[in-house]
Order: sequence, then C-alpha cells, then structure tokens
Amino acid sequence: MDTPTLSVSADADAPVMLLTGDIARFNDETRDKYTKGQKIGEGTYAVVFKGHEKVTGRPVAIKKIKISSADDGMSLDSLREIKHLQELHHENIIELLDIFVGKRHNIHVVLEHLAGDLEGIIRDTKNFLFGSSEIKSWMAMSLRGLWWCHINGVLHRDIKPNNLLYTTNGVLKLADFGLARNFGEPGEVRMTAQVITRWYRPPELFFGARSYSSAVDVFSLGLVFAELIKRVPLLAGDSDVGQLQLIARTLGTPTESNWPGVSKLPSYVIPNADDVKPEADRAFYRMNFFSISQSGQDLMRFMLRLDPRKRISCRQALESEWFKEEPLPTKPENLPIKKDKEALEKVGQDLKRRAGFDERMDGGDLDVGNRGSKVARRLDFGAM
Amino acid sequence: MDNSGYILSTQNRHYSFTPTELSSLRKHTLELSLTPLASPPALTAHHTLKILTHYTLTLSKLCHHFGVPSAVRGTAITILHRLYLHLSPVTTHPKTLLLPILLLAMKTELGGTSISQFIRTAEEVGLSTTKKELQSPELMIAAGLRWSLTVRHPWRGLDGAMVVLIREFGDQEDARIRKASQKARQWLTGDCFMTDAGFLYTPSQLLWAALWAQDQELIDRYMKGRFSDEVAEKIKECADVFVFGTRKIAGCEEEAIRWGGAVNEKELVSEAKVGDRMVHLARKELDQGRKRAEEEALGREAEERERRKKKRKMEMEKMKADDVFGPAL
Repeated sequence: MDTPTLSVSADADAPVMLLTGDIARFNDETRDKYTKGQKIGEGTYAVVFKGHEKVTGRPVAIKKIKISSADDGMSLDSLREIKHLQELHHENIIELLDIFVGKRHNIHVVLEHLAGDLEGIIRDTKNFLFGSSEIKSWMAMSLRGLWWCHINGVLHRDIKPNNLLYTTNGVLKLADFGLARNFGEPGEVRMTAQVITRWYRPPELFFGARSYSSAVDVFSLGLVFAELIKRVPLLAGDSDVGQLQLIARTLGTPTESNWPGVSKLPSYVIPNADDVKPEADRAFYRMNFFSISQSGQDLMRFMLRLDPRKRISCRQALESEWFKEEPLPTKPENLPIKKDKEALEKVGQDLKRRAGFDERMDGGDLDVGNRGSKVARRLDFGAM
Repeated sequence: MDNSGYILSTQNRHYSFTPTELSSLRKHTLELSLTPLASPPALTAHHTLKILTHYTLTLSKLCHHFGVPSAVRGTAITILHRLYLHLSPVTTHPKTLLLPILLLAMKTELGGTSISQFIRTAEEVGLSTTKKELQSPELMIAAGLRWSLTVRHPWRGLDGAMVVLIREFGDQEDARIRKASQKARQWLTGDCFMTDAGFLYTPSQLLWAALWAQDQELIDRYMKGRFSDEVAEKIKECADVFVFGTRKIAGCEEEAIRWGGAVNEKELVSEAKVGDRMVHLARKELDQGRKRAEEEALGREAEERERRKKKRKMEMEKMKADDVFGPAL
C-alpha cells in the first residue's frame, strides 16, 4: 500500500520560477480547457482524477504528479513519460492530451480516459471467460502499439498486464512510459539492466546486458500472452535469483549452445547447474498451451526465445498465421471489459503507480532514477 | 522522405516554421515583454537574437567543459533556442538559464546526473550555483518548451546515409563518402547551431544539405530520380543559405532570423553588448514596477492587519460590555 503524503502545502512553498508572459498564458489556457473531478487513485508519486474537456465533454484522466520535494526537481520517470508520449501517437498507445502546471506548481498530465486493465480481466476468473479470439485481439493490439514504439526508436521496458489498458470500446492501449527510453542511436551510452518488472523481465537483463534491444519488450509481451491463457503469471519468481532459476527451469538453461555469446555477459551464471534444461521446444508449448492452435504456440515460442537475437520482432509477430486463421480476432467493441467502480479504481492505481513499481511484488527495484541506493543492487550469485 | 513518426513529432508540430512565422513569433515575444514598460528601449528582435547567439556560444563552450556527448550539447542548445521563441531576455536573462538548461538536457538524454558533481564542474569555470538555482527554473523551461523534450538531431541519420551511399556507389567511392560524411557531421554538430536552419528544415533535409555542401557532384547523382525536384531544391537552398551563407531565401528579408555564414565572435560580442545594455535597462524598470507592486500588496496587507486588529479590539470591548458580570474590576 502507498503511504499517504504528509503535507500537500509543501509543494506551494517549493522554490519554483514562475511562468511569465506567453508561457504563462499558454499554460493557463491549457489548464482552463479541463475540469477536474473525483479522485480515482492516489499514491506517493501521483494523484489521478477523473476529468472532462470542457468544450467537447470528453472524459479524461488527469494525473497530478507530486514533486514530493523541490530537491529532486522533475522526477526522471515523469520526464520520460512526458518525453515519449509526446512523440508516440498511435491507436494502441495511451494518448497524452495536454500537460500543464497547476496553481501549486504540480505537473498535471492529461491522458485519455480508460476503462480498465488486462490484469483485472485476467484475474477475475469468476466473471470472465475468454478464448483464442479474444486473446488474439488483445495480442494483436499490444503488438501494434509496441511495434509503433520500436519503429520510433522507443523501448517501453515495463510491459505487463496492468500496463495494458483498454477503453470503453475495448481498444487496448499501452500505458506507463516511465521507464521508456530511446534506443538504436550510434555511440550511445550503456543502458541499465535494472528495468522491467521482475516477472516479465527477460534473461539478458538478469545477466547484466547493457546493450539490449526491442527484444526485451517482446519477451515481456510473450509472458503476457502465456498469462492470458493460463490466467496466472507463467513465471512468478519471489526474488531476482529465483526468477532466473524459474526462467531456466521453464524455458531452458541459457548456454553457449542455445545462445552464442551468453557466457560473456557480465553476470552470466548457470542458474540451475544441477538440473540443466534444453530450451523449451514445440512439445513444451503443445503440452502447456494446448488451448490455442499450433501457430499460436509457435508465436509464443518465438517471442520467448532465450537468445534475444532469435526472438521475433513485433512486425514478424503480427505477420503470424495465428492472426489470420480461424477463429479470427474479436472486434475490440465485442471484447469483455469490466465496467464497475473497481475497474475504474484499478485504472487510477495503474496511472498513479510509479514506473516499475508493483504492489503485488512488494515494491520495485528498478531504475527509476532518484529512488536511491536500491538501484545499484546487483545480482549476487556467489551466495547461492 | 521522413517517416510518419516525424510528421506527428513535436519537432514538426511545434518547432517547424517558415522564415516569416519564425521572425514574427520572435517579434511578438519581445513586444509582449516590453508592453508593461512606460518607456520601452529601442530593443529589437535583431538585438535579442544577437544576445541569444552569444549565449549559444557560451553554452557550447560550457558543454565542452562538461565533456558531454554531442547529443546532450545539441539538445541543450536546441532547448535554449526553442525556449527563447516564447521567452524574452527582458523577462528572464539567458545567462541565468544556461546551467539549468544543460542539466535538463543531461536528464533527458542521459537519464540524469549527479547534482553535486554538476555543481563542482560548473565551479571549475568560475560559475557558482546551487541546487535550488539549478532546479527552480525547470518547470518554467519545460512549460516554455510546450513539454517537447525530444530533439531529433540530423546527424543521427548520417551512418544510415553513409551505408546507402556506399551501396549506391560501391567501395571505390568509400573514402570520398566517408570524408563528406565526416565534414557534414562537423557542420551539423557545430556551425549549424549558430543558424536557424533547424527551425526551417526537417532533420533529413538538413542532413542531405550538409552532405551536398561537401560533395555536390556525388550527392547530385544520388538525389537524381530519388528525391522530387522540390525536395532537391529545398536541400540545395538550405546548403546555400545556411552552410555557405552565400544567399538569402528569395523574397525574405526578415531581420529576426539567424542566417548562415561565418560568425565573427568579436563582432558578435560587441553587438550582443549593445542589446544587453538595453535589456538591462528594461529589466531595471520591470523590477522596479514589480517591487512597487509587491510593496503595494504588502502595504494593503498591513492595512488589512491593522483594520482586523481594530475590529478585534472593538469586539473584545463590546463583549466585555455585554458581560453579565460587568467589566473587569
């Protein structure tokens, strides 16, 4: 649970340079476009309100980012989210409508209104039954959103069911770009391996790879795919070490034979030395995911390959036979959605959550910039 | 020529202009900042641009001192230029924003930096600053940028361009292509920032203009049949006007544009000084006005306090008078 903030008024005293002239006018005009309604989520990092665009009456979500202390300035995750969402415009990516500074110098991010997230549907096994067509539809929309990120040089780095939201019309949207970053620029700095919520993190990151690619997101989405079928997370490790062991036992032990070069990665170890497994083959997927067709099983296998170079791209995934064969993907408007208050509150939770942080896993250990020393935590295989 | 990602980018939506648009935006911003003055100085957008160019040079030197990669330097300089489309030096002087801008550029390009290290590095060149001074303008800068923090640097496409050129002309032209590419990079990461080319052309137009300027024969051959005549013309115009500085855009005599050509630092400094003096005078008047307004507000507050005090006193006396036990003995 998030602890409530002690004082809101601290923000008002923050030493912030005032907006003037044209900049102030533009900011005020933007602020006046919206009305702020009921609070739908609150955390230490942000408060989410329901709201409306005055002219059109269009419902929106207004995310007020608390600059908890003037010491830190704009947090890196809000900066990243704003930076990337400003550039990514796509049917399957949450739309950033506006940004303005409030009267107490808090940043307000106006996002399109969303009705719920995939996690809410996956977990609610009592009320929701769905099959291949629905899963196909959600997967196709996720892949399209992710494809757009990747061709625009952006890695999402936190794909998981509660970052896959949907509109009241069932259209799926990638959300939470607080860990996103650009990739593929020549001569760029090394990237941190401390990203992606543990259960969805690919093996190369556990091995400390510092130059990784869009394949990290594909792996995460592959695990969401498996979870949509199983209705529970496929790999729910309780620690980083345990997670890597789980990957090795389930999907295979990463070795030079199935992943040339892997042993050169900085933190490479064989996590299950007593029980080395070959990489999961067709038989594994046939046995575990029998409810979908062969081409669907192949698609999942290609998304979950250990060697990131062997994983398919979003584009190749979208060209899979699975999306073309019967049963065809359900039309978004016919997809199941949660309409209750709980689902709306869940969206509030999703939007106010700090990037990479997951309540189910008692906190994050991800690189969100100014979270302090935890970021430097390294895998310690010597202790095993 | 540019993918659809560029069309929807903030750079294209907010920071792509015709020379006339760019020039009038700058004039408008300056006028707005001078409006509250009773006797505004003869400060023109031409002057404020000289000031801006001067501080571009300073910022660039600062970046070299900090040893940041060209992406950070390019982003910092671009932030400065974008910000001063909506901000006048009369309101906030660029010299007070150089370090905060560099810090923000490091945050967006590198994902942050150590503030104490930053302050120490600044001190090495005699700039003393505090954490508060560095961070307090951050929101104003971000809002002034319309929250567009992505800068599409044209040189990022150079490696790709080199590959297609080598594929087209074969290994025998390898050395020639490499040389052109290297020189193009030099211009794109250097003198290009002294001009407004980045506001007037797309990143790929800039990239090809920089290459064409280095090897016209080769790039002409490449562009033929691939780029429309219109695009090819635009590229050559960009090279003539901004790389060589040999002509201006036809029918365009805008004063508030930084055209190409060599920058004489000495001349620039003296021109910037003329503008800076006027900015200083205007700021002085503005500050006085602000101070007066603050004092008036304080005075009103004091009056209000006095009034409330009297009222409370009267009420107390009234209460005492109403007391059934009578006034205190």
